[in-house]
Amino acid sequence: MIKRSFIGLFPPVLQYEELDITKTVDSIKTPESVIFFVDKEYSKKDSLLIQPGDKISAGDILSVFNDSEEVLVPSVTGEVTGIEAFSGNFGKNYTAVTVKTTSNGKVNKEFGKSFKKASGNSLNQIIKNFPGVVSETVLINSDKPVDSIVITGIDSDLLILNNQYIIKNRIEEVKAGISFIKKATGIDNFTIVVPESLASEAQSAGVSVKTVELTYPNASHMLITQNIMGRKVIAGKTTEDAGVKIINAETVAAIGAVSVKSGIPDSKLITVINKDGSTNLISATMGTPINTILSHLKIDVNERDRIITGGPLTGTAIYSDLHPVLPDTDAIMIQDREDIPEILDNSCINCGECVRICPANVPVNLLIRFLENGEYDEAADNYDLFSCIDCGLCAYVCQVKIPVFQYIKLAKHELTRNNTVEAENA
Amino acid sequence: MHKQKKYIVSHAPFWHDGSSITTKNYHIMLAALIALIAGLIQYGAPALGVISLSVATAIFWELIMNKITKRTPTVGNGNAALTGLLFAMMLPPTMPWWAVITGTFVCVIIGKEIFGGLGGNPFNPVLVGMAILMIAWKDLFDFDQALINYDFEYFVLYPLAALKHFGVSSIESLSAIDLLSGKQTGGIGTTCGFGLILGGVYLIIRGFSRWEITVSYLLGICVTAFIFKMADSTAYAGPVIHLFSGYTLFGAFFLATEDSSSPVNFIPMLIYGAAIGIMTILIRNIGVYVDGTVFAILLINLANPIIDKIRPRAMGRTV
Repeated sequence: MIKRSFIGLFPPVLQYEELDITKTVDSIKTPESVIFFVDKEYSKKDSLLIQPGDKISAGDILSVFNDSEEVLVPSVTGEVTGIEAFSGNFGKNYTAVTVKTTSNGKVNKEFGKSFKKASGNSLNQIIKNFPGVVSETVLINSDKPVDSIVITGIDSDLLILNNQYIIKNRIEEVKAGISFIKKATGIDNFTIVVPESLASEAQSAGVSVKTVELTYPNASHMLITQNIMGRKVIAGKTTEDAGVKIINAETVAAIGAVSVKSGIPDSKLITVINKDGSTNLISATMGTPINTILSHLKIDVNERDRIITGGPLTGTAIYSDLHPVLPDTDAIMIQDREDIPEILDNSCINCGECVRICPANVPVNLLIRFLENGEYDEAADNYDLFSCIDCGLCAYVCQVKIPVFQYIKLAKHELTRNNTVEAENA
Repeated sequence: MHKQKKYIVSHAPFWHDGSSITTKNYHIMLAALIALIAGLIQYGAPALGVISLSVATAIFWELIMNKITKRTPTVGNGNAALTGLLFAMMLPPTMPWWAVITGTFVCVIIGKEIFGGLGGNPFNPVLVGMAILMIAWKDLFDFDQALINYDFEYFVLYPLAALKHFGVSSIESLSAIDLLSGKQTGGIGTTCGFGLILGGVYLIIRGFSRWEITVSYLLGICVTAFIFKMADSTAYAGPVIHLFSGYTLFGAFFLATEDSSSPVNFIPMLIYGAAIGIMTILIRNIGVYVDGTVFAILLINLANPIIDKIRPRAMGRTV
């Protein structure tokens, strides 16, 4: 954990880590049982197209629900042993499909072909299973046509090295991915955003390359769109609204690999952040439970420690080490119980640290007063709630340890939910 | 069967920079100690008595209030102690015990706790106590009278009172160095300018207080005093006297920078500091009070929420 420096004249500065080029990736054997999440709520009444006992192969394109376009592309061959509901954060619900793997099982060789034939929404649904995908990412969205695609060669949270590693070592696949996406979407304008040190590697992909300063949160998708692409994103809108789609280099490389070699995008690159802050890069089959990875790396996780998927400032704490590696599990961070910072319900003392560190100029000191009292509409209308880019720095510097970021996320979630319900009933 | 361990789950971020109000308050006390020790050497045991009583009762009042409002005791964060300490530093060493206790009552209960505790106070609690005491028992703050029984090895007087009552000529003999090293009368901890500057600069460098407020405050004092002196140099003293006497330095480094009652944005901080400086000199030169610092800061505290409306446009905002 990076602490406040002795000299406190200026706000603290957090730096992204640069890839150590000697870093190697440690591959983890596919475990006996893996879990996949399908992005749809499951209830017992639903009639499913796959049932426990069904045999599935890696690379199948499986529809799970009758009434949904969601597809599952399993990374292993084996037998479905269970289908359950799983509730994630902020009311997000998934269907968890557990698969027992068979050794030497045959993979579906047709995957590459079907992938290349797919278009429109079915292509989107397949890509949702690819490593590095952010859950909202869809390649083709006719509602929000974009004119530029940005490929991030740097992860938006601290300490995560996946995309830098991909640019360094798999730029050929990225190049192939770019030409596939060009064909599929018809968009010509590609930009790769990388740290200065990887600029020359990125050049070989043959598209425009821009460099990003290593100060957090410069690699956040919002700031890349605004500062590097020079597009103004209106508060509350997404980067797609500003005409920019952002895709992780890892996803582009996976697309490239499939389109060239017809393989199956079955493994995910993960940065494991140990208790002491050191990092390991590993590659695991998607669906691998996190405890398999931890025991492979001999990381001891004790009662009351914290397991986080994602980075230190924007990740998600999980309550079970059986949680699987998902397409967007970019990092697994383990925090010792001694290092877990305290969270308090003190009132704001108006010290202004949050205001001075906020990259989006949100008046956090005023905002938090409305959020604490549930005045979300007021917060959104007059105190710039939706200008927030979700970097978490306000809570990082808060002297009275208010969970500011949580309040902000909750308020955004509640408002979005209200708007959805209102729209449905309108 | 896999035995599930229990993990701690909470929202991001999972890092914290380690700052806390407790650390902050103790550091401010530590910084105030430099000037305080100089004051204790000058004024001796009675001053120590006033300080101890003030700190103890301030903590006591907050604890009582915590019990009455059924909240977890907050005295551990050092804010009550800090309030008591800063309050006592502004008093003359001869302050009677009952006035000290009344003062801390006003500071802690009326200045802070009735607004909901730390963070809710619109005014600097220390100054609320000071203002009420200064109005109610004016004579207790006649520093020259209060210190009449002290035998200093050098000539001392309370520069601002002399200036007010006897004009510029009475303070011509005072040099900046003498004033800074505490050769004047005043509050227990407010006379040693060197100590206050040292402590204040420490706080600024460590990031516990904001330089913008302090610097603009001192500049406000200098510029306004200079303008007055230019206008009529026989009636008004120059910036040096105003900077190094009374509560100016104490106010600039320890009072105006109080978090809850001061702005957080850059330009508002500058305006806030400068406004206090200007107001201080106006009260000193035109008003009836000898030292305007206390009332100047309180007045500008009142304007703080409006001043702080001047803020940079948030990202992505269209109107």
